[in-house]
Amino acid sequence: MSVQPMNPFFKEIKKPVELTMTGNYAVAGAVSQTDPDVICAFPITPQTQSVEGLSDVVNHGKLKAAFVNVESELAACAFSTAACAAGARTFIATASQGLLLMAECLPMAPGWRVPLTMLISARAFNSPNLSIWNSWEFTLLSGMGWNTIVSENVQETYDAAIIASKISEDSLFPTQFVHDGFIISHSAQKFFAIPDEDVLKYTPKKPRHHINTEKTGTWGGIVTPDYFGEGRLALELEKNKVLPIMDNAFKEFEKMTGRSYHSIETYNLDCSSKTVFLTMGSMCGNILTWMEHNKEVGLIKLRTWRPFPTEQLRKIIEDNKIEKIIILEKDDDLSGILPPVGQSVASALFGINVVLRSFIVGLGGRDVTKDEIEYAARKMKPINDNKGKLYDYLGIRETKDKMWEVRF
Amino acid sequence: MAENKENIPKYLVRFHGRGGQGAVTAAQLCSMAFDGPATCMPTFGAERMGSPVASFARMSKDYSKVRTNEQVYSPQYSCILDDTLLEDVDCTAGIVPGGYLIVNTCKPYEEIREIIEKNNPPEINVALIDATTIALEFLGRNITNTLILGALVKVAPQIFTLDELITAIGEQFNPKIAQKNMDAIKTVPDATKIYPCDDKVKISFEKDYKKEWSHIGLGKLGAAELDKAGVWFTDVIDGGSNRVNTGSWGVSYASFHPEYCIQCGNCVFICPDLCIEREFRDNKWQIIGVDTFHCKGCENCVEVCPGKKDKETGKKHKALTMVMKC
Repeated sequence: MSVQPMNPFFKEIKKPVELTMTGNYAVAGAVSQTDPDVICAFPITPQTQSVEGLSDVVNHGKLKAAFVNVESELAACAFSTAACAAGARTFIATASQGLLLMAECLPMAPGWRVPLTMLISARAFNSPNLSIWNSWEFTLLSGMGWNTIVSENVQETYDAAIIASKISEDSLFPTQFVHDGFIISHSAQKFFAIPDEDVLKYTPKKPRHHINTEKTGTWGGIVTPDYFGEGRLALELEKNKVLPIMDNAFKEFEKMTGRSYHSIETYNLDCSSKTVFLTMGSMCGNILTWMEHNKEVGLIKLRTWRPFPTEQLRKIIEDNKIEKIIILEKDDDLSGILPPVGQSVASALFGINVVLRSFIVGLGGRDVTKDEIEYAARKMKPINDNKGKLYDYLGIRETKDKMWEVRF
Repeated sequence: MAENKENIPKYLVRFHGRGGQGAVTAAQLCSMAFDGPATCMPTFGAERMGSPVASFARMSKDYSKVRTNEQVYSPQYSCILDDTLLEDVDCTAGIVPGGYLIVNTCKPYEEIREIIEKNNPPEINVALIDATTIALEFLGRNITNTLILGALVKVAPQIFTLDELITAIGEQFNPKIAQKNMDAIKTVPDATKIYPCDDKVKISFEKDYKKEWSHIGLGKLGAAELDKAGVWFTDVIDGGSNRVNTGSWGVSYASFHPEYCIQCGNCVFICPDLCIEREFRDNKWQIIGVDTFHCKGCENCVEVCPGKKDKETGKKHKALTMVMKC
């Protein structure tokens, strides 16, 4: 091949170096640096190159890992969960329909407390038509106990791959890290790679519970109604400890690289209108560039999607006396209530006097430009209560020559 | 301080090419060669060899200007890797007044100008470079993505220099190919001919010229007009091989020789564009030829054709062979 995208990761990275790579290859590089033992993922657009890149590194010989080919995502997830339960550091990746096919296996990893790490290249579910482009399908399948962090650009998704590995093993809950399919996965950006030595120091392999021959037993065997609830509560109690563990992982990462991450990041919250955008992923970049010329609106960027940082969000809203929240999200679930991100935000802020509306934008990979952002900010100005419909689609054609009018 | 920041220019470049010509690599080289924050992205799509693709590069020393993940709608420079694209796609769409259109072509300026004017572009400069000839001479293949960047250096030396570009090429390609490209690219700036527009039109690197809602594509069917179940979309929306005139740019196409055909049907099933024509004759489907209008010359059919022995010579002949277009 004339172009060897994984070239920089074939040899040891000794000092921080600036690279230009697409999101997927950057993730592949980061994962190869965390030294996984097992890589098992079924390729699906737009995640394909991340697995491709890893197979390159394994083939080259720098990474000593078992690269396992399977016949489907369901098998990939089952295999990975089992490999991880056996004590291996395991990486898996998927998107869209692949995630749906995995769905049966997804709850088992949090249940067994195995620290899997999974990349999701967010892509739309096929309905009513096939789409390979970006929507936030992961928000519809995120209630299973997986930690989820979302990245804005290539630098963040590279870092997230490393941070996710640490969060998984510290919290003993599996972690997904998400970037927007195509928008990040296929655009090449400059980013700083971390030296191999630092990464290994940051993500040491620690002893943990695993399948072994000394203490044999059944994993996931049947329990009667006498015990199931107790098992779930035990998980919930442990899950409550995850957010501080994540914050700690972000803090240690900052110590290592100087790049500061938080579960929730805020920009320009002391703005005059007391109105903020709330969103996650690649759209934050679009909003921040737009905000260069529009200083009257702020931005709350969610990095941690699950577990939802409820207390932190409440504190930010109350401390800054935010009055209006404009939620931008790339998902809808035809449920008649707010779409997934709106649901989470509204229930997290229950009882706080704040006006919110959810705009569904950028479905199936449609670009979210300054037009959408401006429109949403303008539309929000006259709204002062939470009455009526709380969400609508934005940036859609109603007919050939008319845009769909947002009606609240 | 804030005022200074406003003045930091933002460079937007768009590349038009056909799948396989390396438009995406060109954009990536662009962002690698630029000394400062830069991003590049392709128009995201199901790509295949030969279909029109575009890619963008966004560069600025001020990170906040390139932090956005939007696509580029109003480029200052539009580079076209293949002049047949000018007929198929509006390569001047959204280009800022005073911007540059850089075309790889061997046609004279007047002919190119005539094609461009059909789309009523604003006042723009045109730069022509016969990159294909240089590519064939130095690389032996018609891959012109690095060479068009050489022309970009000529018209916009402020973005990056030839040396920076050559360094980027060295990083991106394996040494053998990199060296060939480096040799070729050095000849490009001198071979680039610039046809400037009116002197009064000055290019703006700060202003955003994007037309409001231009990315929504008004004119296409809306939610109220589409089939409610989303089943019959394909009848009314654009796209699909059916509407792509691949015949206009392919280098070769398959040719059918009925005397050697045993009617096994292998070619029918392997053709990605359903170009093998059949007819219902004598109570069965018979292969009768190739649809050269949609054949893109992938050679899959030739590969699977078992052929037939010639009775006189005893030599085996395939019923499908590749023919070069002239």
